[in-house]
Amino acid sequence: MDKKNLPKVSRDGLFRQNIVLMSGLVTAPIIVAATTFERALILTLSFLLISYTSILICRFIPRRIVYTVRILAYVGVAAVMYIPTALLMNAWFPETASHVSMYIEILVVNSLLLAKTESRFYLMPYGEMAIDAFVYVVGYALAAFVVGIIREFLAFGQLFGFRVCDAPMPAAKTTFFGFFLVGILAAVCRAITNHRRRRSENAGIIRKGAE
Amino acid sequence: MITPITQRDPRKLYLERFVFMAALLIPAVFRGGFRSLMVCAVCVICCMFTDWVCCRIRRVKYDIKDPAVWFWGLSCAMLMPAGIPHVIAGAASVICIVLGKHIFGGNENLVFSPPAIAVAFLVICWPGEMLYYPKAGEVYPMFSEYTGTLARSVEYSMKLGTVPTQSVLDILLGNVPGAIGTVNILVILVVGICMLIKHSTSFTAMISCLATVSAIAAVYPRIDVDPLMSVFYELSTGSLLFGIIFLAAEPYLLPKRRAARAIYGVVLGYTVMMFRYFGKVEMCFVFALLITNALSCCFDTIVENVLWWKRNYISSFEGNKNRAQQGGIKLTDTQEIELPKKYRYNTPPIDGKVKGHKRRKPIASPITDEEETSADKEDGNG
Amino acid sequence: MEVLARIVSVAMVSVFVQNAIFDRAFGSNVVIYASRKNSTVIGFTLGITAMTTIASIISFFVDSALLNTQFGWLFMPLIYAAIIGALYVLALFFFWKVFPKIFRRMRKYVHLAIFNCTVIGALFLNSNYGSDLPSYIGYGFGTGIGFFLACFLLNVAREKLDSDKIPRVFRGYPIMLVYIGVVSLAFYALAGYTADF
Repeated sequence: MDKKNLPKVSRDGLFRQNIVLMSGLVTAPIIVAATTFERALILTLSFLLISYTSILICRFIPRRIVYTVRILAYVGVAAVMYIPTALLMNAWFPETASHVSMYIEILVVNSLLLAKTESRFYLMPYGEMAIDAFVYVVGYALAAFVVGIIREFLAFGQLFGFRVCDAPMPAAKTTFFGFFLVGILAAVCRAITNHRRRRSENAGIIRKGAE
Repeated sequence: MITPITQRDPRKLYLERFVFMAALLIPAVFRGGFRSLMVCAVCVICCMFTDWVCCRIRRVKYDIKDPAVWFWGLSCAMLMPAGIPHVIAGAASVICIVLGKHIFGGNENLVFSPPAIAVAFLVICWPGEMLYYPKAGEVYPMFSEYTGTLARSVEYSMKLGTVPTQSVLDILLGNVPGAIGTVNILVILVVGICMLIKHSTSFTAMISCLATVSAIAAVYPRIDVDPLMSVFYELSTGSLLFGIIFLAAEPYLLPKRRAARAIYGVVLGYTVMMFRYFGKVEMCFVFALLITNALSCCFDTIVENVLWWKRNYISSFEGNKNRAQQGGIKLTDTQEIELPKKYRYNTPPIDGKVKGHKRRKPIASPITDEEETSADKEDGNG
Repeated sequence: MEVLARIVSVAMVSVFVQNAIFDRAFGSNVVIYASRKNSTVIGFTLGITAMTTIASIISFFVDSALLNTQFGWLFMPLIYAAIIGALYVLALFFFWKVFPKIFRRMRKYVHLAIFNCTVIGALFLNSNYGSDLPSYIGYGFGTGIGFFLACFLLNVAREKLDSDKIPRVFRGYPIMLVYIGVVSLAFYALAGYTADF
């Protein structure tokens, strides 16, 4: 297969521009609602179904239309996509979905759809945009699962729903702990990104020196 | 006007405050054994170790003799019950230093009081360990768990709306369930007076906070007692007195101006009482202190803006002129000034007298119309 | 007078006990963005407060019809988005016609001030907790004031939070989150733990 025809896969959305830990967008569901692995899974699936599909659909809205009107279309499409998402979540997770329903509802105005599309996605070819947006959703999933697993262990003494020990810190399910945890994870993500960038810069310098 | 506490070296201030706070250990050990001393030692050592680790990670110079770290460790311990597990005491120290100090950039850039963050976190995460105290007079084992009966504090009974059953003398002498360093009211008062004499704490902030709490307690008592008793109970329970004397006037967090410190004290007192009236947890002082610390950045700014406005728009002309000559304020162009000598280039002295002045001769004579037209003809523009 | 007292009491609950930022984390990225300058604090606060209050009033009448149906809850985001969208267009048109200078200045961030989780979250919270029109108005107004409180607290501490003394990996967004977390910890003493969503 000719490599020139394949769209470029950018991994920015995973770490370097992770939507939660680096860009600070769509943080409310993770800070408040992602207290267990199951809830993180519900939030991730909802985010995928609402945001990703809306991005793919809204790409066909002509850019001739002024942004003031286009944003209304984006929100409308996302609100329409909410309907099957909510039905699916209630069918797959009947006990837990109601606990995070509000944080699924507010995903219709999330910043990935309203801001990132204009600044990044809609400037790319369609295939590349689809993969790039999917990588961003995977980055969101990564942040949600890490936060959910840590808080499930601390607040409930469980891992993936199985009880492991007594709850070490029941207050880990509170909002303020979510802020602390996401802030510290954001710092860790930044440290990893800076370290990798310095390593690649040093490797580039060594390569140039060798040449 | 700047008062002595803000002119003093913060390291010496923290050392003095540490020594004064350590004096509270004497009645605590006398009452409950050496467990209190053990908890304090665990907290202080854990704080110092955590500080060393954080300095290594941040690659900054570690100062083993930093008295602020000792002070914060001892403060955390004093706000905990004597029967607290050592693991939780260590966790408090780690939170205090990591979250309170190093994440915000060290001593010079503190935003919140580190022991307040640690104790608030612990009260919410482990309320069973933090808010239940061994009874007064019981001796606790130094290393093992306490197996006796635990009791709630006097603040808890006030939160329920009931009048405390302990006598005034018991409360003053510390014969009530409570944290290590916050129940000995008489000793705290004596230590507070000594600190005021030594300028180790802020008189303005302390008095304004106490006055605000007293006024609210007198006018709106929480329990069915006369106003004086309501004031006594509010001041002597819930680590309020300890917090006002030791935690509220931290050198790195206190506003610089006296008026700003008065506002700080009033806001702190008001916030504490609002938390006590409407809040859901005990140990309200540390939570109120966190919010007041968040606001304290703006008190100095407010006072400076008010003073600038007062000087520029309210004070008399003569007062402005005198202050301008002393180099005090910014000036508008309607006010007369006397410039310092280095700025007087060729200006005549300003003495208020009206004088005539001679017009200087122009440097170059103006071009007449005849000269202009002849110049144009030479250029070929005519 | 009773109506006013009810509005004020519900607004106080919304500001201190169920603060949109400190208790629900709605719009935390908008708060961080808006707290950079005094002008953006005031601009965003006015915009969000007006939107939440007016949208809450409209949503009261919509909820009365919608919540009684079996599948009405599925269409709530769509209808709330339509309400916010209509108010957004009306507001833009109003400012464009009446205050063109203000319109030119606010054009670049007005969508951020209106289409965010704080505004739509206030409507959802109203549908969960509101019972009558005064409580809807109080909650909507209180959400905007709570947003202002969060913005103000971040704005006054900006000098310290932007300092070079903060470790490099925490500068910017992480330290803002930690700061909001500490203030949220303090407000927790007022609110307690709100488990249901």
